[in-house]
Formats: sequence, C-alpha cells, structure tokens
Amino acid sequence: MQNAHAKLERHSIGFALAILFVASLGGLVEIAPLFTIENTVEEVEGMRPYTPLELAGRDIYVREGCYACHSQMIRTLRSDVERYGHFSLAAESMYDRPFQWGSKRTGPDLARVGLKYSDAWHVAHLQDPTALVPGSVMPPYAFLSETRLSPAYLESALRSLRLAGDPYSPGQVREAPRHAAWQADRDAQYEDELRTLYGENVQVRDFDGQPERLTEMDALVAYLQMLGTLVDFDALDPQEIAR
Amino acid sequence: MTEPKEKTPETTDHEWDGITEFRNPVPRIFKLSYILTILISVLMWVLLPSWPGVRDIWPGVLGYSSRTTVLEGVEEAKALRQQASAQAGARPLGSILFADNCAACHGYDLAGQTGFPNLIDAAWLWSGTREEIIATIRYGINTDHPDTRYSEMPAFGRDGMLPRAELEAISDYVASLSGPAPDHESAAAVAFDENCSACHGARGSGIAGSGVPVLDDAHWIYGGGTDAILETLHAGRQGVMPAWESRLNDRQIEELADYLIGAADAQGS
Ligand code: HEC
Ligand code: HEC
Ligand code: HEC
Repeated sequence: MQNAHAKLERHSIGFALAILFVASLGGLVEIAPLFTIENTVEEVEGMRPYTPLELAGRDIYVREGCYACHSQMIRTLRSDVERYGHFSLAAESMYDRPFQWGSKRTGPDLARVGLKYSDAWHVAHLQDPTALVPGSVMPPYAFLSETRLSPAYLESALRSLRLAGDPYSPGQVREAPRHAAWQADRDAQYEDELRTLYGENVQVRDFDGQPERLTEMDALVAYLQMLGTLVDFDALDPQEIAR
Repeated sequence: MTEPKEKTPETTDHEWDGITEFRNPVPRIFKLSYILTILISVLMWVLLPSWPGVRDIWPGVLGYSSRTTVLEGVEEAKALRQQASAQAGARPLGSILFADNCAACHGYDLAGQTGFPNLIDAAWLWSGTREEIIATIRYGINTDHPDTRYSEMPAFGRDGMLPRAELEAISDYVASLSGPAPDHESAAAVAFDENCSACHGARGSGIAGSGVPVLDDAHWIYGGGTDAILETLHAGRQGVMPAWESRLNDRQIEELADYLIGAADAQGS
C-alpha cells in the first residue's frame, strides 16, 4: 500500500487514465443534472420569454451592474418570504441567460418588485433615489431618461436566444425592434397584437413619462414592472412544487 | 547537549539535484475525517432530496422539503403574531407593514411627497372611512386591477382643450384659491367654472369622496405653485396607487387601515 503510488507513477498511460477518471468526476456531478432539467424546472402557468422591450431593460440592468446591489432570488426562508412574497421558482429563471439571482443585498431583493410601485415612482427613484428615500445609497441613473433606446440590436439579440432554445418565432425575431416601440406606446395601439404574440401578462403603456420618445428608462422600467408578475400562483399546487 | 535523533524518514526515491522527498503518511486524524465526510455525504444523499432521476428527483427518506417547511413557518408566524398583537404595548403591525410597503411613496412620516399624497392631513381624496381606505389599499387607484378606483386629471394643454394663455390665467386663479382674497369675478374664474368645477366643485371646494382633490386648501399632491399647477393643467395627472390585494392578506390590509386612521386622528387632535 505504501508503495502503490510509486507503481502508478511509473506507468504514464495508466497514470494519465487515473487522472482523467478523477477529474471527470467533478464534471459528471455538474453536467449530469443538466440532462434532467426537464423535470427539475416546475411546470407553471404564465411564464413566457421576455418581450423585446423587457429584454432591452434587462440588458441595461446587467450593463449598469444593478445585480451588484440587488438580488433576484427569494429564498425558502421565512424572513424572505414574509418580506418579498412567494419564494422564487426555478421556472422563473428559465429564460434568464445568465440568471440574475445575485449574491448581495445592499438594496432589497427585486424578484417580485413588479407592480409594487408605479412607473412614476420608478422613474423618479432611478433619477434621484435620495429624493424619494432619504439616506438611500443607490446611485442616480438620471441619464437613462435622456438616452434614447437603440432597438435595432434586439433583432440579433432575439435571434441568439432563439438559437439557445427560447421559443421566439422568426416573425418575433424580425420585428423585435418594432415590437419594442409598440410596447412603450402611450395609446397602447398595438396592445392586442403584443398580447397575442407574447401573452396576456404583457404590460403596454408609456413607462418613462415621455410619450414622445423611446428611452432606456422605458426599457428598464418595463423590465422592473414585470419582475415576478408572470407566474400565476393561484394555479400552483404546493404539493406539485414541493422540493 | 542531546544528540539529534538519528532516524532518517523514508523518501520516495526521487531526487532532484540532491533534493529528496519524504514519504510521510497523511496524519491519521485527517484521513479518518476525510473518509467520515464522504460517508456523511452519502448518508445525506439518502436522507434528503438530492439526485435528479430520469423522471423525478430522489425525494429522500425523510421526505424533507424546504419549500413546504417555509410555508408552514409562515403560517406559524402568522398565528404567533396574532397572539402578540393582542398583548398590551405591542408595536402596531400596521406601522411595520407601512414602512415595508408604503413609506417609499407616502414617506415614513405619512406626510407624502410630491406626487404622493399626505395621508395624515385629513384631506382625504376618497373619504377616510375604514371601508373606503381598505378598498383603496386593496384595489389601488388607476391600476390594472378590475376593481381599481379611477381618477384622471385631463391634459388641457397637451390635448389642445384650452390655449396656453388661458391656462396660465387659470393657474394663477387656482393658486390664489388657497390665498386670502381670490378674485371670483375674473375671466379665469369663469373659465374655471366652465371647465373645472364639474370635477373640482364650485370654486375648487371639492366633491367629497370623488377622488378629485380640493383646490382651495393648503394641501397639494403635485404642488401649489403656479408652475406646478400649470404643468398639471398642461399634461394632466393620473397618479397610480398600486393594488395590494395580491401582496397583502385581508388582515394585513385591515391593520394598515387602522394604522392610517389612528395616525390621522393623532395628527388632527
Ligand atoms: C450601490 C448599490 C445599488 C445599486 C448599484 C443599485 N441599487 Fe437599487 N437600491 C439600493 C438601495 C440601498 C435601495 C434601498 C433604498 C431605496 O429605495 O433607494 C435600493 C432600492 C431599489 C429599488 C426599490 C426596491 C423596493 O422594493 O423598495 C429598486 C426598484 C431599485 N433599487 C432598482 C435598481 C436598479 C434598476 C438599479 C440599476 C440601474 C439599481 N437599483 C442599482 C442600492 C443600489
Ligand atoms: C407607488 C407609490 C405608492 C405606494 C407604494 C403606495 N401608495 Fe398609496 N397612493 C399613491 C398615490 C399616487 C395616491 C394618490 C392617487 C391619486 O392621485 O388619486 C395614493 C393614495 C392612497 C390613499 C388614498 C388617500 C386619500 O386621500 O383618499 C391611501 C389610503 C393610500 N394611498 C394608502 C397606501 C398604503 C396603505 C400603502 C402601502 C400598502 C400605499 N398607499 C402605498 C402612491 C402609492
Ligand atoms: C374629469 C375631472 C376633472 C376635470 C374636468 C378637471 N380636473 Fe383637475 N383633477 C382631477 C383629478 C382626478 C385630479 C387628481 C389627479 C391625481 O391625483 O393624479 C386633479 C388634479 C388637479 C390639480 C392638482 C391638485 C394637487 O393637489 O396637486 C389641479 C391644480 C387641478 N386638478 C386643476 C384643475 C383645473 C384648473 C381644471 C380646469 C381647467 C381641472 N383641474 C379640471 C379631475 C379633474
């Protein structure tokens, strides 16, 4: 036994195979569960892929590093559930690439912030957090109201998500930039079209208080207002999702 | 002087420029705890939900689920709180709920901020009865909820209903309403009567419980300066108060209503 390693070390092929075996154990534990994702993710009603405008907002969320201060993961802890609402489900992150669970809460969790505040509050808060919440350490993002959204890139963004398996139709991909503008239309002229395309829980209105133009603020607020609002929790059987 | 011990440890036989490598075994305690942790992890796999299977997840012999446990915990806490709030001297639940959910808009002191009304000034938009307050909290104002309250100040300027010059005159008149001597004979006063009093009442005195603000008092949602009023007249206003039905349960909403009524009474006396 004491000299077992000496033997192994002197057989280069055998030694290489042994290394390969040990190293692959780590990979196996990480990769094998991916093949069973179908039955790990709960089946829920209401989940849908992001609309182009929400996706643009999500990209801004990532670009500005909001995840450094905000989590989007309500854990199965009593304190979390009492403060933020129903614990997060795996299904709620199924269209997030990458997910925004985060690991630090300088500010509150945002997983269910959708419809908790009004658009006007979000705009005013993002422009100057301390004006509404005295003592807030959240930085101001007033420039988002001044920056026009360039929606052209959304076509390729949706195309790559489609390649990754998100259920966007070729029409949705092609028309993504136009759909983004539709969603922020003050008069909601195309509400029916958007709902047919994306589902009943799409919110259509002017989000940033500037109906005449499409800004990054529109996109970010549209994203914040849909967070955690998709899944129909009344239709959810606690037995079914017990894990 | 003691002689250094003469025992040379065994080496691996490798030698690099005179440097050799000891072959000391890992201390037994490390080896044992290493094996022990592996055994414990195997035990945990068996006891707790762990491996994904082909059709389902291995539920574990104990049948433990953090999701079920947390839901039970929440129920338990609800019962505990019910007991605690019955005790004398307990901090009202309403104040905690208000800080968590409402203060970002209405302020920690309940005195409101620009765009979000003061809740303790006794100038209720929708009347201050308990039922009305509960309905406001539950269904919200101008939300997507089917039972929402609805109120909208039209955009007289943007939608071209009145010319700019007239709006400016009306703004001055509205600003003067809360002052000492408003001129009710001016052209602006006549225009107000024609365009505004249907909602805001004669001379801005308000129509109780309609959700439309009184204009002849010192309480303003959006500000009582002529600039703020002119902006209101130009672009309209439609403040959104979120609906809380899906976030707060009936009991919590009642606690909040009682808290608001208590705070408004304390302010009034
Ligand atoms: C430096 C850390 C920090 C960063 C970065 C940050 N926030 Fe915050 N955020 C906070 C803190 C602290 C609060 C709580 C105080 C407040 O409401 O302002 C907060 C509150 C919020 C709230 C209100 C949540 C609630 O339930 O009351 C929202 C929404 C929000 N942030 C969105 C964002 C977005 C969007 C971004 C990125 C554009 C962002 N935050 C970046 C720290 C941060
Ligand atoms: C997003 C900001 C926001 C939040 C959060 C909010 N409110 Fe409001 N609330 C408003 C606005 C805006 C109005 C006035 C609506 C209007 O303009 O008609 C209002 C009106 C009210 C009214 C009616 C006042 C009256 O004079 O009749 C009550 C009562 C009220 N809120 C209570 C609450 C309570 C309780 C909470 C917390 C559960 C809360 N609000 C959270 C924005 C908010
Ligand atoms: C259809 C009914 C309606 C008409 C007509 C109307 N208003 Fe209003 N007004 C409202 C409502 C409702 C609000 C409250 C809006 C809110 O809370 O978001 C309001 C708010 C206001 C405010 C803001 C009050 C504050 O506390 O900040 C002013 C000022 C005002 N109106 C002036 C006028 C004037 C002047 C006219 C006539 C030119 C007019 N309104 C016509 C319904 C009306």
